[in-house]
Amino acid sequence: MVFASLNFLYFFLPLNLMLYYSWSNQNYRNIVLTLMSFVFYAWGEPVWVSLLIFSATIDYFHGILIEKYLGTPYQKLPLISSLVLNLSLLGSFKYSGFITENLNALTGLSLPVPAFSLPIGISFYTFQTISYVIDVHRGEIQAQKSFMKFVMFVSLYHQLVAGPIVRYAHIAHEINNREHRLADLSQGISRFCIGLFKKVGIANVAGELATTYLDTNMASLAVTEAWFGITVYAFQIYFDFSGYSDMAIGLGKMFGFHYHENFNYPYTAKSAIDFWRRWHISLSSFFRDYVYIPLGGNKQGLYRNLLIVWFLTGLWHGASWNFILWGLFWGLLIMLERLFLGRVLAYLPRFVGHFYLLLAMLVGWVFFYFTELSKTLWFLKILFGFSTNPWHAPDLNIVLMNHVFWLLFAILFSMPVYMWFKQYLKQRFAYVEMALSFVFLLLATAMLVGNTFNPFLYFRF
Amino acid sequence: MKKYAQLIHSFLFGMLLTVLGVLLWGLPKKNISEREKRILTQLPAFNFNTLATGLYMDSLDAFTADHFPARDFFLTISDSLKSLRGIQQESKKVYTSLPSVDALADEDDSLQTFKDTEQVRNTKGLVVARGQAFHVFTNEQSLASDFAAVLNLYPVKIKSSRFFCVIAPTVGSYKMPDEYAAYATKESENIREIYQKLRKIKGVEVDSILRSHANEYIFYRTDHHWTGLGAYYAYVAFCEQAQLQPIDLAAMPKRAVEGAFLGTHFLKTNDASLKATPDTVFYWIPPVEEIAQKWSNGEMQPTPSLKVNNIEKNRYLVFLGGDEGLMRLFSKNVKNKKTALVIKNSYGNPFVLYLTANYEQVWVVDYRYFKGNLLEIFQQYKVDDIIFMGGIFAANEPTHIKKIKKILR
Repeated sequence: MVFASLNFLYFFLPLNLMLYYSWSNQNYRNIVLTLMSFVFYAWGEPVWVSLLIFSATIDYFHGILIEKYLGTPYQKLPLISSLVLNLSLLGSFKYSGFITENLNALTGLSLPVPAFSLPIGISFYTFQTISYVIDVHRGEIQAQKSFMKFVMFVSLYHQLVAGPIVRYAHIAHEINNREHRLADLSQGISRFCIGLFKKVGIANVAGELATTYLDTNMASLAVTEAWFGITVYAFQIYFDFSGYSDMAIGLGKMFGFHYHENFNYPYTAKSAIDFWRRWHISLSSFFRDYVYIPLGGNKQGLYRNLLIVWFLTGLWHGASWNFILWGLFWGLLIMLERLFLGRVLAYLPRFVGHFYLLLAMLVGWVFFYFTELSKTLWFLKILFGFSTNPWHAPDLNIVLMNHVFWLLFAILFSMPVYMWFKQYLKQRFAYVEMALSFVFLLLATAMLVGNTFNPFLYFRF
Repeated sequence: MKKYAQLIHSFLFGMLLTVLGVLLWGLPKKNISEREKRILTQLPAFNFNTLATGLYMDSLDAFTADHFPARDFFLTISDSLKSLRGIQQESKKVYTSLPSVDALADEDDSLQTFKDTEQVRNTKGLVVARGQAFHVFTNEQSLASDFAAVLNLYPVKIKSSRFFCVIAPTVGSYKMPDEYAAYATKESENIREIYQKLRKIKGVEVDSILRSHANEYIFYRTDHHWTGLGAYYAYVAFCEQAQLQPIDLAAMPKRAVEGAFLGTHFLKTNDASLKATPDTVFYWIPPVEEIAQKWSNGEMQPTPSLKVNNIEKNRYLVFLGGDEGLMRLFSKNVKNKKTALVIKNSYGNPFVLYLTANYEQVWVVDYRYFKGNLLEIFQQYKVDDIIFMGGIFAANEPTHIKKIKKILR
């Protein structure tokens, strides 16, 4: 199931809220939340609920074992066993086809290529349980003794399918004993509606436009059309993903959980390093804490570490070379910034850094969008004028005029305008936000009723 | 104070979701949307298989969107939001993501009003300006050679007849808004290219006669077809090529189908300016026998040449009663033993009727729906003239070209 659907909004969510709040016993509430999470997950692919429970069971026992043997010579064994199991699950379901294809291409063999359908959210929940077992091993958290509570942590539908990657450590206290405040419920609702509108009102529209200019015959794509296409794709992916994170955070609040922020206005960044502190924060901090720093961070083998981290970041996004290239592209920029570019940018006016980042981000999305390298290169050639394509197509003017308010809206809300309003209105803002949530909900509902175009980008990962 | 506001906020939110949810499942369901002229999704079949594969849930989502309470109200909001996205220049709009026409063609016969499967491959979309819809033909992937190559097979297989080809341009050739002027010439270029590649087939140039009558009502505003009048001018151009005497327009009684006509372009865009300027379907009554024949259930059965009743859903059906795989028209007063065969898509429907002023019999084959083999017909009947008649989008569409080839196996 997806959040931005009528069945979620007008069936699943009210049912969930009602069942949840009709109990005062925390255990019953946990059971309701877990069962509802299974239903939510099963909505798309019922079979994979078993994999989810299997994965949770493995890590539940490993957590307890790790804690038991902590301080003994065997302490590493259960950790390694858990990592091997988790990564092989992810590997076989997500990467086996990709690995075999490349192996075949390299060696000339023709091994049968496995074609699993990717279980939804496997990249997200596997990373959540990996962070859990590592944190237990590091002694930073206590293992969860209640199987029920652990399954709830793994299967919580708020972030199960499209993140953010919630660390057990961040919500351990709330899993065991959380408080339900009216203020949280109300704020959660507001946050959820904002995310819903971002997804339906901005990302979906951007998506329609993006496919028109990116899924087209490139031989006749004008240069301005190419720039427009990749720009609206940038809006699509940002508002889609950050809208989803808003909805997850909002839902968490409705049920007493406080998840960390996942986005912090990434398109206002002034360097690649800055961008990745603002984009998909839960993923970049995962790689920082569990790969980059254990490898030696910036103290030992900095460039090797960066290479590994950015290779993995790319690979995490999908079993395809274009994602790996996309990751390495960002890794390269970050290396350059560490070498000298960062210092150069610091001397220059701020807008230069900002312009550089926007350009890099758009080029990055070209790698992200096209799975075939030949198309990526062709598109880049068009963008930078190394093609015989026309400079401009007359109908782009009309499309621009037809969408000018929507575009301004998207640009404006890529910047922290909402925060400015909040500071300006101070106390009154709370009331405005409450009223706005109904406006957002109704508009989003109207668009969902009127529009069948509703794909979620991050379902691929 | 704030606490109360939060309480009211949360309560209202919960109530809103619940009430709409209950209404969604509790209200009686409509089957047909008059507004969109289509059958609404029905509740999917529930069984273990559809449940386990997730198919049930997918159809459930479509069902919910189709039966949402106050759906028309929400659709109106959704439509006005669309026009608020930007400045609609002179009420000009470009529609880039269009539902495929197939989505409008329903299996059910009662709604089988828009059978036409003209695709949108060769287009940058639909432009609506001043209450007129334009289908932009860009000639990017012109299939002129493929199309001509397939037509050229006909004179090879069928020897004894004269062959003609009439390609209909769209309204874009004559009334395109200025920004699109660059595209306006593409249609005639493409048609000329097709005609140049034809062997033993005469291409009938209809562009100049249509251009000289461009200020008349020769194309619909809300539909992709030409009008009965547009088709008449094409018929005149054909007669000139075929050395026939065209029947005078004034010699045929003129009629109008009752009620306003909103065609495929409106259905695809739901555009308000199109809705405000609906079309009227005029038709002229040629010397055709009122009862024609169509192939159905293994034999030729009677069918009206002009269908005037039960065409509220698509008034263009007045011509021949719509698209049939095989039809045969008879002239009332021509007894010259001459027979024409028209291989056509829906553009040909008004056109073929006029031919009964020059031929005793007119066979009409819609290549999209004809299931048999054309050559078998020629073994039984002598055909003097064979006329291919279709729109420019179909002429550049691979699926159409394949079908034109297939009926000649």
